[in-house]
Amino acid sequence: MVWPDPSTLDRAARATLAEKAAASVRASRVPVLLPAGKEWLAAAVVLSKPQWTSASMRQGDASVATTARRAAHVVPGIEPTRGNRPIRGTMGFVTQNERVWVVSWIENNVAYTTEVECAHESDVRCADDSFVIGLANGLVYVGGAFESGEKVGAP
Amino acid sequence: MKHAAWSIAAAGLLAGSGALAEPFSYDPPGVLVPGSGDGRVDEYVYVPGMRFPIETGPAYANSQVWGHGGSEGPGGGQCDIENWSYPWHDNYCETRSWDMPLCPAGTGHQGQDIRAGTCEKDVHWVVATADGTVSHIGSYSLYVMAADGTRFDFLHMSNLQVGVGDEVKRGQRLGKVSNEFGGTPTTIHLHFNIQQNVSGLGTVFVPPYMSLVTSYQNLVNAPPEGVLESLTCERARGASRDLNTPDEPNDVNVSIDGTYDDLKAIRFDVTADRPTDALCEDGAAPCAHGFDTLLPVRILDGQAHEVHVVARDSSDEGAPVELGGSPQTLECAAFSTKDRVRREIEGEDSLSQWGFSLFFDQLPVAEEDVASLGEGPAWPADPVLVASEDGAEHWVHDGPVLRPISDDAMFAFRFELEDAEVWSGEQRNALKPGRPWPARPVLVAGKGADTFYVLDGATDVPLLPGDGSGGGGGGGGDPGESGPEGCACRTTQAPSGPGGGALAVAILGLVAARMRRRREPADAAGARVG
Repeated sequence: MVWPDPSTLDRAARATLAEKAAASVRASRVPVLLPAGKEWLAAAVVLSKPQWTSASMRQGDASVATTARRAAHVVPGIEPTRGNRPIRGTMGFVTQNERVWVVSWIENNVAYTTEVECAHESDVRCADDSFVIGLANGLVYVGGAFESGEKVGAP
Repeated sequence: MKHAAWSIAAAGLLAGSGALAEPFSYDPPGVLVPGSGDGRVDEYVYVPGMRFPIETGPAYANSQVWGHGGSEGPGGGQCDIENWSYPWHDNYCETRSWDMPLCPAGTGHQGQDIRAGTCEKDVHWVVATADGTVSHIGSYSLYVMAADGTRFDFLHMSNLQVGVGDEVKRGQRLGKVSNEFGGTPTTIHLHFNIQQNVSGLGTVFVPPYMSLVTSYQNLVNAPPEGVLESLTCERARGASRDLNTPDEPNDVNVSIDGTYDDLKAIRFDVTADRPTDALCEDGAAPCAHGFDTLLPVRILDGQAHEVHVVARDSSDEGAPVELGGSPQTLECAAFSTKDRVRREIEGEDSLSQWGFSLFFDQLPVAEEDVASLGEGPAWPADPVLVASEDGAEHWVHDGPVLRPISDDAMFAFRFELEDAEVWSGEQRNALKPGRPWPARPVLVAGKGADTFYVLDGATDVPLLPGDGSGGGGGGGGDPGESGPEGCACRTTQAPSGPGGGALAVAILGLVAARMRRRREPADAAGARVG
C-alpha cells in the first residue's frame, strides 16, 4: 500500500465530516477517498475495519457508497485484466445494473469503488455513467491512520 | 443437463412449500437461459461456508428478466409455476451493456436473481449470509461487508431490520423479499451480488451461483443423525440415517486415533444397512439403518485409542456428524501370542473364501516372533458352519473335530446363519468335539509376502498331521477363544454429541441387531478403508 503525499490531504473536506465519521477516517488502514462536495461529506457514514473502509452517503433520492479494500482474494485461474476506462489517472471498470452504477479501480495499491444508486429511473444522475465517473474522479483524500507516516488513528 | 440432485422428501423440512417432494437440482454454472447471453462456466465457490440469503427454503434461482413475467421472458405472469420450480438457472453474466471483467463477453449481469418459496412479497425473510457490517443502504439496496472485504448485496427488499453501521450475524434477518425498485416496482425477487477484491482485477462482482448452490444445499439438507450404541475392543454397533434419503442406507465412518479427515487415523466407512429393531417398530421409517462392524485387531495393544464414529451426509455436501455416544476412548489389553499356534492359510483362494481382511484382521507381529510360534495344521481351506437341527447351536468343522462357535465369533468370522449346514446329532457325533473356535480371526504375516497364518488357541486338532498332539497349553479362559464377552478393555465415553437426535432416543435400549453377516472377501463388515 502507498500512502498519498500528506500535502494532498484535503483538510477542509475532512473538517466537513461529522465527528464519528472523522474518527473512522483516522482509524482507517487505507487512504480514504471521499466526494469533495459538502452535501455528501456532511452525510457520510464512514466505517473502518482492519481490511476495509467504506462510506455511505445519501442525498435525496440518490445515494453514494464507496469502498476501499486492502486485502485481495486470490482466485485460481483468473488472469489479470486491466480496466478499460480511464479513472483517476489509471484504468478501471464501469458497470451498471438495477440502476446502480459502479466504478472500480486500483489506487495506492488499494482497490476502490464508487457507486451511485438512484431511486427513480428519471434521475439524470443515473441516466448514464457521467455522474458516477465524475464523482470518482473528484474524490479527495481525507486521511487515514498512516497519513503522516505514522499511525494517528485508533488501534 | 441437471447437476446431481437429491431428494428432499422429509416432511417438515420445507414448511409451506409446494415443492416438498421435488428434489433440488440445478443447471451447471454458466448455462443461461438460451439467448440470454454467455455465462461463465465456473465451479469455484467464491464464499465457502456462506449462508443462503433467504431464511428458509425452498427458493428458486433463475432469471427475472428472461423468466415468465420478465421483459425478455416467454410471456405469462411472474407467478408462473415455472419460475418456482427446479432446476435453478445461473444468470450471472446474462446480457447487459456494462463492464463485467469475469464474463466471457466482458459485460453482463452482476449477480443472481432468486425467488423465495412463494410468489408473495413482504413474506419471506432475507438473512445475512455471513457475519459483517451493514455498510450502505440505498433506495432499494442493502450491503453487508464481511471482515475480509467480501460484500454481499441484497436488492429489492422491504421491511428492513437493520441500519448502516450495524453489525450483523450470519443468519440475522435483514428484510423481506419484495419488489422495491425506487419508484417503479420490479418482479418479486431478491437480486443478490457478491463483490470482492480479486487479485489481478480489483473490486469486481464475482459469480455467486455456486456459493448459492452450496449454501442452499446446506439449508435444505438435514444433517445425518445416529448413535453409537456400543463400543468394545472388538466391534462398534449403532445406527444412523439421513432424513433427506430415508429409504436409503447411509454411511458411517469409524476413525481411530484421529478424526474422519485425519490421514494418520485408522479410518474406514461402514454402510448402516442392518435391521434395527427400534426403527422397525417405529413403523414410520425404514428400519435398515443399523451398523455393526469389527474394529481392527491391531488396536489390541494395551494403548488408549480414541474412537470417533460419524454419520456421513448422503448428499456428500454436508459435513459428517458425530454420532451420539461418540467419541469414546478404548484401552484394550494387548493381544498375547503366547500359547498360540499358527496355522497357515494355503493360497489366496482360502483367504478369500474365509473373507479375511488384512486391514481388520492382521496383527503386526515381528517375523521372528511368528516363526517362534508352534505350527498347527493348515487352516481349513473352506469355512463350514454347522448348525444343530433347532438352530440353537453352531460349530465349525475343523478337520477331525467340531468346534463350538459363539454368536460373536460367527460375526467376527463373517459367517451367515443361512449358510450353516444343518447336521443331525448322528452326523455331529461322528466327529470329536473340539475346543471353542477362536473369538475372532487374527492373521500374522510369515516369511515372504504371501504367507499368512491364522492364530489359533490350543486345539484338539493335531498340530501336525499324524502326531496326535494337542498343541501348546492354553487352558480354559483363553481370551482368544470364543465364549462370553471377554473384552479386557476399558472405555471412556464422551457426552452424547449432537448427532444423537431423535434417533438416539429411539435406539437406546435396542435389542442387539439380529446376527446376519454378508461374506465380503477382504472387505470385512462391508467396510471401505480410507
